[in-house]
This record gives sequence, structure tokens and C-alpha cells, in this order.
Amino acid sequence: MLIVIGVAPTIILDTFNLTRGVPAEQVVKAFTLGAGDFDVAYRVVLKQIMPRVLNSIRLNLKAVMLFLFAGEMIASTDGLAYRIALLRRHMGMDVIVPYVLWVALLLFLVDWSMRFVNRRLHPWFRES
Amino acid sequence: MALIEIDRVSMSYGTPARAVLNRIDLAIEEGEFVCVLGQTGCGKSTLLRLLLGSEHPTEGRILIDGREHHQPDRTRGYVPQKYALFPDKTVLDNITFGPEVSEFRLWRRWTSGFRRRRIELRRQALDYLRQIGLCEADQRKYPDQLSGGMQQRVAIAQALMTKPRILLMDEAFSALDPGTRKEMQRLIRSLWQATATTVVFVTHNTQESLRLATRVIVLAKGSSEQGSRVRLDVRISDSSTEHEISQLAHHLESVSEQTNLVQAVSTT
Repeated sequence: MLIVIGVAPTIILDTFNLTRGVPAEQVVKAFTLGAGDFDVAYRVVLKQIMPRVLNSIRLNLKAVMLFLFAGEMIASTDGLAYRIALLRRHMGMDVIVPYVLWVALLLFLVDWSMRFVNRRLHPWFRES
Repeated sequence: MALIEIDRVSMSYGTPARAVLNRIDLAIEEGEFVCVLGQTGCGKSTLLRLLLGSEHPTEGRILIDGREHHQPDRTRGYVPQKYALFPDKTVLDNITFGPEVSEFRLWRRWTSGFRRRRIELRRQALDYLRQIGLCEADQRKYPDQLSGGMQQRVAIAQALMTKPRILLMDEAFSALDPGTRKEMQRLIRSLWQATATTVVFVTHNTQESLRLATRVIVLAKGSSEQGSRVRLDVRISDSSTEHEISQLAHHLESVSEQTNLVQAVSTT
């Protein structure tokens, strides 16, 4: 819940701005080609903004992890952050450092796979 | 009855109101190629948007085939200057987009009828692709892999694929280099002759309008209180030579700088 509250506003705002960024000409053009409201929303707007929305989610992974750590440290009896919080009291750096590296690797893998999926699903998309 | 009737249409924006068009009266017959000419900011594109139905006049009404249209639909094809194609679709998908969305709603796209029709549409799209001078290898390209001229060609094919009665083009060639522009002019002219679609083409290029149109309408820019009005309505003969056209262009350009346009044209 904490993660959703922390990250959802940014992603929603990004999605809103991306939707506004779709050129009006394309929406008008779609209507002139016979598209209905749903077609315009799904086949024109959503399809165009989807790679950027995925990018926005990807860029918010840092925040997701921060909120996850905060959540686990505040109110959890399990998880990596909970263990780090426990070990911190005894300065167990031999365990904390591998844990942190593990989290970093996990984030890197999620980031890489999201990029890969984005490229495969949207071959037309150029990030620049 | 004319196909398009623009009946005392005025348009203004904002508060306090800034008038853009002032009591425009026009009748466009089926099969005409009409160029709307005028300086930047005189309301040419506004007039086109009113014809499209994406904006509504503050006064007057626009009848298309005797009916008022309150939003864009298939009767009017549209080719804008920019963002003409959907960037997430290939050339072929862009061209077939119109018939696919209008004939098959999303939930009907898994039927065998749709698959059969899709094959047929793709064949038609390939014919259009050849007509507009693109090769078959281009069909799988995305719009950003095409040059500006090629993109506009595809945009024209996309608009014509739904067989609209009216094709509205908003400075469609103004971003192209002179060579490509001439080529595109020849292409649209031949497509117009082949399809007999009524074309309304907005441009600020006098030569272009005279080369393309059967009729040129000049909008003269008015003050922000008054708005622009139609100052000139000339029919161009098909038999006009290049020399006559360039003379007329020169005349139009000089005339558009004068105040009393109507009087000047009556002597043409």
C-alpha cells in the first residue's frame, strides 16, 4: 500500500502528461478515418503512450524500492530490509553489504528486463 | 445543391473575443479542387478545422451534403502538415487503419471474417502504395524511417483508403523541399482526377494553389475585431499555360497586398 501511495501519483501524472502530448491532429485524423471513441483511446492514444508509460514505471523503480525498504523497516517481520534493520544493530556488515548488492542486482535485472520487453513490444519506439 | 455550403460563418476565440473569420459565405461543388490561400494568421486553418468539425463556428453554419456535422467523421479525409501518421504503426497498418477500425470494432477482430477482409485490405493498400510511388519493401517501415515526402504520400493514401467525399489538406506540402513538393503536387492532382474527390487545400503558396486548383479562394486578413473575409474567388482553367499561371500568380501576389482586392480581381 505504501508503495502504491508513494509511486502512483508520479506515474499517474506522467501518464496524464503523455496523453496530453499526443498531437490533436492524430486524434482528429483517427475520427476522420472512422474510429470511434474507444478506438481513439485504445488504438491511437494508449498504443502511442504505452512505451513511455513503461519507461515512467521503470524510472520509478528506485522509488518503489525505497518505499519497499521503508515499509519493511517500519512494519514487517520479514524481508531483506527487515533483516538489514536487525543486523544494523550488531553492525553485521558482512551480511548487510551482500544484501545491498543483492538488491542492486535485483533492481538492475528488473530494469534490464523492462527495457527488453519495451523494445520487443514497441519496436517503433525511440527513447530520444 | 453544393456539396459544401459555408453560410455566413464567423469564428472568434477567447475573451475578449478575437475575431478570426467574419461572415464567410462559400459554396463548393462536388469534384472541385479548391485552394484556400492567404497570409499567415488569416484563418485558413481555422476554416479547415470548421469544415472538419473539430471546431464549431461562433456564428453561421456549415452544411455538408445538406447536413450539419458536429464532429470529424469518414465523409471528410484529413491530411495535416505534421503528425499525419500514427508512429506506432507500419506503413501498411497506417493505410489500412481507417477501413479496419470503421468496419470492425475491437471485439470483432478475432473473427475469420476480419482476417479475410484484412488480407483484402492489405492488397488494396499495396495497390495504393504503388500508386503513390512507394515500393513494397516500404510497407513494413515505421513513419520515422521515411522521409517527409514519403510520409505525406502515405498520409494521402491513408486518407483516400476510406474513400472520403471530401479531402481536407492543411499546408500538407509546406514542410517539403521544392523538388518533392512539385512531385507531390503532381501526385495529388492525378489522384484527384482518378478519384473525383472534392479537395480543399489550404496553402500560403500562390504558385502551388494555381498549379493545383480549379478554384482559388483568397482570405484577406482583417483586424482582430473584424476577422478575415473572402476577398477573392477565382476559377482556374485547365488549359492555362505555365506562363499564364505564373502571370496570374504574380498578379495575385501583388493584388493581395492592395486594400481593394475585389476591385482588382474584377479586372482579371
